[in-house]
Amino acid sequence: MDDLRKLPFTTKKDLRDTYPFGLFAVPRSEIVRMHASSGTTGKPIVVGYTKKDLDTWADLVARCMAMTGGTKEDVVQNAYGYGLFTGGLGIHYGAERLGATIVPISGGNTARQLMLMQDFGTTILTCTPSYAMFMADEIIAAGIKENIKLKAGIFGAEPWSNNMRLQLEEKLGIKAHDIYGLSEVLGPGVAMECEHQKGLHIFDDHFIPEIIDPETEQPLPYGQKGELVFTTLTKEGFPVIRYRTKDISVLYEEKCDCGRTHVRMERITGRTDDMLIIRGVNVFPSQIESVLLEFGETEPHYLLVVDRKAAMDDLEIQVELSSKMFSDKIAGLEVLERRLKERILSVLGISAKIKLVEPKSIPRSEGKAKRVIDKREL
Amino acid sequence: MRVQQISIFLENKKGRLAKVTEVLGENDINIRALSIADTTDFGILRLIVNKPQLAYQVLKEAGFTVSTTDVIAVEVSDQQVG
Ligand SMILES: [Zn+2]
Repeated sequence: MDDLRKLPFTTKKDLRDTYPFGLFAVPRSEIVRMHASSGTTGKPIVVGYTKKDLDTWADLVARCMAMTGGTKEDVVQNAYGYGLFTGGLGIHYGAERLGATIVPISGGNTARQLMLMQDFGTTILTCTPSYAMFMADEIIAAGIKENIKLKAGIFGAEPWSNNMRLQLEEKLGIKAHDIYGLSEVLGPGVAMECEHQKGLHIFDDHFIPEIIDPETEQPLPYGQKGELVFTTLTKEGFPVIRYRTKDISVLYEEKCDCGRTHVRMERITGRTDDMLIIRGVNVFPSQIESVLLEFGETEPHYLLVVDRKAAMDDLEIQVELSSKMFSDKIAGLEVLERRLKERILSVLGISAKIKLVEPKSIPRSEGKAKRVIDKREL
Repeated sequence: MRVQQISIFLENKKGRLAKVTEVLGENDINIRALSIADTTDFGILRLIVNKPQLAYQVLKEAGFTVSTTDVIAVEVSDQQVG
């Protein structure tokens, strides 16, 4: 381990600079699948998998499902998006490896999701926590909770709070498990929560985790909060050495109550880049984005304005009103504002003022809208 | 008479109403009737115009959030009664 620390870090910039195949460690002909991150501006980050990599990945995701009590008897409804994003296909092949019945429905079309969930007797739901919450609310609104046979949820790909977990568990009558992964390292299946939900078990037979101080880049001991760094041990197509995830977490080495001895990581509590702390709560622009996505807009444009008045942080969320959201009645727009406010409160755990603004009124640079204006003098 | 009413989302900001009338004027569209419903932050401008399809299209192209609804209009002569 000490020798590992002599090696330099790999950053997202390194991956970007070598687009598309610069960091592939095998000839392109050995790569049997590619995935790409949704990325921010410009070119995505491309990762490649050999046959053996896909094999390992399926094994790890199957392991994750087994940790939720999943077996070949289960029906897994996979509402992660299928495509370049690793969520859909990653979960898909893991469920098949486990021998469960996979329903590859992908994301969206909630009415269809709920119909199949009832008709197929889905027992495990896999999707982002915000989409799970949306479905939960729809299930309750439609009065069909009794027809739902879900017992576990495997939720990831975005940060979520314990408060949200408790709500999901209550609303859906399930145990909600956090799954962690990132395409640069593998995709979903790098770490997973067991039934004790005391942090995520990192599969350290395949990945070496480290926590570093993001400023000094010095390694931190177990129990201290910092940036999560991964080195892959078994990857062939796209191995990484000391990859800086920008995710903030803590590592624990004590054996878990479940008996597993993996190093555990605390659920992701923040990012070193875009995180905001408002009234002591971590807020990610991506969480706001996922809420807006539920409201039927494919590319939501919004701006978070944070200010501090009378020692209290104020969060205003300006949302560009799309045609889809538009109601030609004042009451309709006020209802929209109220529903957005309620969803933001349930997802972030803080209240925000919603301000509907005209399309294209939020300034954009390089085609990407500026997401945050922080007026606080901290 | 059944006519199409144009509804436009406007922020309560200076110059927005003027922008709407400017866009319509440039396209030779006449406003027959107008009403505004508003709150402190935003309003909905409702228009009856002589060329509703064109108005919808040019306002949309100008970046406004627009919708149309069918309404019943009753023509009242412009004369004083009684
Ligand atoms: Zn455990």
